[in-house]
Amino acid sequence: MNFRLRRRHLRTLAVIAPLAFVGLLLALDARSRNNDEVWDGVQPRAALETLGAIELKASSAAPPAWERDDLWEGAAIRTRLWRPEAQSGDDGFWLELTPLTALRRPDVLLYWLPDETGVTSRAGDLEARLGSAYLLGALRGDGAGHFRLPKERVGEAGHLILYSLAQAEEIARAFFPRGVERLDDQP
Amino acid sequence: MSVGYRAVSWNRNKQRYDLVLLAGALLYLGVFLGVGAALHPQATAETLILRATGSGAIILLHLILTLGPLCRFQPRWLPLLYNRRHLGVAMFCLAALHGAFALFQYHALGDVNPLVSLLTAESAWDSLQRLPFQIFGAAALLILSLMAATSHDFWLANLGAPLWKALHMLVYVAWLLLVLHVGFGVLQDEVGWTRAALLGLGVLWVGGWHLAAGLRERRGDRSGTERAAAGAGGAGAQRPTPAAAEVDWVDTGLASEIPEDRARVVLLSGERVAIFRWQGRVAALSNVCRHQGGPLGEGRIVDGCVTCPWHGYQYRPEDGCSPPPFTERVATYRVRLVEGRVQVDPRPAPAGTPQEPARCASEQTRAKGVEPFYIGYLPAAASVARALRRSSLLLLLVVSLLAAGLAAALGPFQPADFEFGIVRDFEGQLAEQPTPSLRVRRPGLVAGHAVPLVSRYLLVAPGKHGAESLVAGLDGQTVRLRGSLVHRQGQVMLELADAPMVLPASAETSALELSAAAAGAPAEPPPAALVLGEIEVVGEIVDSKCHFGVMVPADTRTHRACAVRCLSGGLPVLLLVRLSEGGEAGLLLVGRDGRALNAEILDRVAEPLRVRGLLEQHDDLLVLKAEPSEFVRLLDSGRP
Repeated sequence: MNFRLRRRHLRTLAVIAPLAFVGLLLALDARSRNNDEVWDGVQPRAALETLGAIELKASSAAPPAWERDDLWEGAAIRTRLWRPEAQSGDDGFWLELTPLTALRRPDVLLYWLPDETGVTSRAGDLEARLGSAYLLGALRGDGAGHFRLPKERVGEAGHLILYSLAQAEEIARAFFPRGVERLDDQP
Repeated sequence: MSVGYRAVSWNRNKQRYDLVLLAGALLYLGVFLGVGAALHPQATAETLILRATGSGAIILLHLILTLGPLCRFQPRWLPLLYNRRHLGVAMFCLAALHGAFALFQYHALGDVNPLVSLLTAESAWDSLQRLPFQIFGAAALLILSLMAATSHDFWLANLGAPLWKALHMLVYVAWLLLVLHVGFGVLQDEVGWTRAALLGLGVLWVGGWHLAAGLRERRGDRSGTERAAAGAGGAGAQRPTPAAAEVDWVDTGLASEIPEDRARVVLLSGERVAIFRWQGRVAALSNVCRHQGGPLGEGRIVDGCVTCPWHGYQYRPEDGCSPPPFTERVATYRVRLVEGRVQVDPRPAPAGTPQEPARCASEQTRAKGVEPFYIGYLPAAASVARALRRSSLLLLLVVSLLAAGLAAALGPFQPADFEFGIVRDFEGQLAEQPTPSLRVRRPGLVAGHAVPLVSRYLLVAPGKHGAESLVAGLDGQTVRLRGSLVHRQGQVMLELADAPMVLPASAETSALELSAAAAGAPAEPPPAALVLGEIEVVGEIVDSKCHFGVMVPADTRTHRACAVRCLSGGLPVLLLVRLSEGGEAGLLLVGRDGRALNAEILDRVAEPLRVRGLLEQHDDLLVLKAEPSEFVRLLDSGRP
């Protein structure tokens, strides 16, 4: 009985194993097509940028005026600044913020708060003062965010503040005693 | 079952076995979850649990399936085989945990019964690339449940060994189903080849060992047959003719070549017969143990009884009966010795028939290089116990490394968060279109360029349900509501804790209508919906709630069933567009007339689609208006 059973099992295995193997190959083939061919040929970023649906990058190919990783208290963020380029006709200052670790905060807004308004960490106080701060935009958290600075403010002392509107909480801040443009001169 | 009247039940060896098994299972889960959480903090706990239990179950199943053939080659694996049923039950527990978590996570809290959802959420049986894979896992779990429920000698005794064995041979069907479950599910959406290669290796491992064991037995059978044929010309021996009235003795070789207390297995009339030699006597029995069909011929004579190597069932060699009080019996064969050669009557006597053993010289020919025989219910020899202790530690180490390696290979996962259990208060203006959402004013002045002055938080109900019924009739009202945040890369959703409370109109609460003026800078307030233009993108339909952070990962085919259930329950439809450089954009997908598409796109979820539509910006929310009839499927190209 055992002998016959084993023989039957061997025959069954001889059917099952190739079937499983072929099934696996077919599955992997489908997997390959799913990932490698379908997705890779598509570059929707440009289309979305063109429509203004996602943030434009700083257009300049020139190196930034400055770049620092240690400006922020409360988060590790790489900060770069581009000055206006005369030849491009763009008179705006561009600030690029790149979180070095994912922020994982909801609805993160970037503000420029002039120094003369004073600044405090107290939540209620800060919320009140944000009313007189400049809203520069939202930081998505998955890559670099690009923000245009009000050019009349770049020479003034002030704070950049990252604020989670949904959590009503300050996330990080950077202080610029001589304004963002002349960072090189600052100690 | 032994001559010492010890029932096969709990004993020290089994307790130690189960202790090591439990430690191994817990260690695997602990290391997997620990390493997974440490290296992939973005992954949700449910995802890690699902993968830990699933991978643990399938690894254990491969070990279980390999034990039989391994023991044919190397008896040192017998201690693992002794309690294999406990391994099987442990594997079932892991698989059941995996199944229960999957059923709850993917199918519960929705608009249909979870079991109905399991069977109906995916239905593309005509497409290899979209084949529902969860059904394979569920079918395998069903088989494993039957096996686990009958993994007891009570059922073995009541069903009878042949039926019980046949039922438990379904493990191979379950294994095949699980290979398909993993192959058509998890692996199809993964970028790396590591786990696909591991699964392929597993298939080859199980198949290879079985094939090798089968070939080895076949060789053994041939050699036994040849020996019998070669001895057929000996004194008094003839070729067997079962119909003959005279005895047709079959020569099976020299008695002196059978090691003391061991057996030689020969094939007689299509059945394997074990010829044992002990204390100057030779007797022949059926090679098949009545318990689970174990190979008696690979066992030993212990306490004067033939002892099965699998579970230690014992039979007296003279009559094939288990010693009292046990009642198992196997067929016996007549034997005689002619000039030192063993001759066997190939016709089996009824089970339990006494036969006179043939007498031979009582020389002590011990098998060389054979390890001490392990019987699970007897104290193990010191050397075996030492080896078992070392093997247990090694096994636990291997388990830890395996778990750590598999956990490290998970991902990558995108960061997303669900503040489960944390309820916050929010105020804003309710918008029912294009999907229920809360418009929250962003404080501050604007600097003269296009920055949305209002954030949109999508609103959903608990579980897999949309918020339409909670916000109906509140469009444009200023409300206060309580909810838990779900957020991913700047996009925010609120799972409502209760219905929104309408606030009386006031200068403060009407600030949203006056947001631009409050902000101070632009002369004209931006329109609520900004038309950006026609666009064609490739994306994947996902359910927004899981995608925003309730479950990570929440895309591709592993999540399809859950996404179908979520969308069927009314959660906002999101088209996930993967951008170059690793980024992504989530576009709220509605019809060109603004209608919700939930019911129209359920069969197109979690697969790449080419979608053309009108892109609009509603505050900070991107909305793509498109018609499902114009979607182009990129898998199974040419399908409608």
